[in-house]
Amino acid sequence: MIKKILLLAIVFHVCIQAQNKPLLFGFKEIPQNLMVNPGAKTIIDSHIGVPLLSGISAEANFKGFNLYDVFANDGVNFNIKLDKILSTLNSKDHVSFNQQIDILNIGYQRNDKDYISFGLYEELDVIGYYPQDLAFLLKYGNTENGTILLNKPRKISQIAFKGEVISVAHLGINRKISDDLIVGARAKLYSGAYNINSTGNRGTLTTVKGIENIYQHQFRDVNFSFRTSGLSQKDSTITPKDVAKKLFLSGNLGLGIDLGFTYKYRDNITISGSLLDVGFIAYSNEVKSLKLKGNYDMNGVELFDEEEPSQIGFWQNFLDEFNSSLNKKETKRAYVTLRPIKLYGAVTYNFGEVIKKRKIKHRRGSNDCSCEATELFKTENINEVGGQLYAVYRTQQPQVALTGFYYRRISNFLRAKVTYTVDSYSYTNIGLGASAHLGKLNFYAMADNLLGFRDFAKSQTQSMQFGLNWIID
Amino acid sequence: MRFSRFLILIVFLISCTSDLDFSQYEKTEVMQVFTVASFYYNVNQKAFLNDTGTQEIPILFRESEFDVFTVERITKFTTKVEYNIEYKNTFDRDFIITFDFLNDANPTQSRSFTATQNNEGKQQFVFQGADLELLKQSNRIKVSINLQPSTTLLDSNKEVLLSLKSAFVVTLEIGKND
Repeated sequence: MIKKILLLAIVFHVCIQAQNKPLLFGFKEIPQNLMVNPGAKTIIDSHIGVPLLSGISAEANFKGFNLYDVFANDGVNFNIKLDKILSTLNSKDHVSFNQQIDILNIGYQRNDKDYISFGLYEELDVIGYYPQDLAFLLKYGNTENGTILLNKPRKISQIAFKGEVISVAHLGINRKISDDLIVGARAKLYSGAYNINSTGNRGTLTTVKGIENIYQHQFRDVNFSFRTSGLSQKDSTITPKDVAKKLFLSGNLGLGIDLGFTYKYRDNITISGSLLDVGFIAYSNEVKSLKLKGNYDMNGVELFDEEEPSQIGFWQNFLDEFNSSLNKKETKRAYVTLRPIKLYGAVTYNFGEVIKKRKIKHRRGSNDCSCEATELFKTENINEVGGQLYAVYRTQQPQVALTGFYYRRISNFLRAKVTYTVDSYSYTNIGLGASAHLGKLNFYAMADNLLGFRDFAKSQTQSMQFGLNWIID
Repeated sequence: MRFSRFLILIVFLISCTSDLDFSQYEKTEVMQVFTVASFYYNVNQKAFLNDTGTQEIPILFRESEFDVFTVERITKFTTKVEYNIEYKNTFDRDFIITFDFLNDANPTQSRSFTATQNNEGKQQFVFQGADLELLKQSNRIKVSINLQPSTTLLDSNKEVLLSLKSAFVVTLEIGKND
């Protein structure tokens, strides 16, 4: 068990992590672009995502180490590697995993101004931070070379992890306010299948020289919570059917909104931004919650105390005092989690050859080509270059990524985007994405950190997205 | 489309991963050493005298549950226990302090030492091997304080104290013998 806990502490010192999609952001030929900016410029008339295939994305991040460091089959004693890693990790190091599958994604141009899109997707998010002090305690105890480590506070606040499986039904509107400004919003209805979290913890465990006894173990300013909801209550009998049922009918509901805009600052300069997942989920289904709050000084067991003769055991005495001093409460009370808010921003400079796209727009309700029609010309530069910012607030600290990109319309049916992203995981993150139109079929594929593909095991960040849409002009 | 196929092909062609062995974690060896505050007491001269202060009570004892080894993880992985004691005796008399570890009423391990008069000191008992295995069978502990005889009766008005502080140093080795 202790091995699993240690492994969990190291590898899955896991918080909710939303996936950064720098390649998808601003990629106007891809309908799912609207999922990262509801106010994005879009140049399609309508789309129907191929069910379950219109948007698949996954991202894994390791901060502080990689899989090779821990699990390389290199003949080196595993415990030596473990000790080495433990000595280098700190409480800001973490592991995160995010995965999304579009179950349904449909959109259509309602009129000259509005593009409506809606759908349903599933999302799995996990993130956990490395609880440095407690991992050290688990690995070595509180005594080193025969000497107890005194006056060294072990921070309970370092325990921070979240995991969540949700489905999201959404409806968005993308409105062209003027030739220069597009705004958008997307309403979201969340349904949480499963949630586990322990965040916002506080407190320390310190051993000091005691007065009544040799040592005193101090739990000070403790405020700890651990909560689960959903599938966690079922032991080993979870089936895919259970997951599917919980995904859509869990009763753990929440609301959220995405907001976004695109503003043409000058002829060749566009500013865009979005704020995603401003919302919450109220978990009320199969809730299990543990809370500890208060202070507890553990001196040991006093013998020959006439007022309180000690008749119970050492261990039970400790547990009883611990639970009562820290007001241990186990409840089934509903709780609310906030979604991780994500922020995107971008400045884009367009240049190069101008493409004119001619479109015949029929009056609404008419399908006769001889009827009154409007001739529109959409102009596009074939090149774009710019910078993007991505930020998400995690349980321990905000995470920020800066991206420089180059986008090119290679041909009528093919566009590509290259990115270079700097974040806390990598300084060599080069991404490449392409969107191709074959007839009415749109296929896109994107991958970040291409250099990491040379050896997944040594990579600290890896993400990819792909999808298939039916585009109707 | 050709470009996308090309992109996917490139990704698959260049992607590889070093040889990993996730089962290595089964070989994890953990050695934890925990120092934990244990029993303590302070007794003065009145504890060894009857209500009228005219007769000595030669032995005091307390018996209580010793449930540390009811925790399976502790029993399974403990390889060494050190019992560290610090005492201070301001009496003009020696005491023999005895720790009897019992399985119900049956003795498993017993340790004692003398707290000499007007003195302070340290004592350590180490349980390893067969002694530790017997200790692990213990579910009760009896602590006795034996006042050594003297020709002079204790003075109930003279404040003297026998204090004892202690800590267990428990070594747990996980994975070594799994």
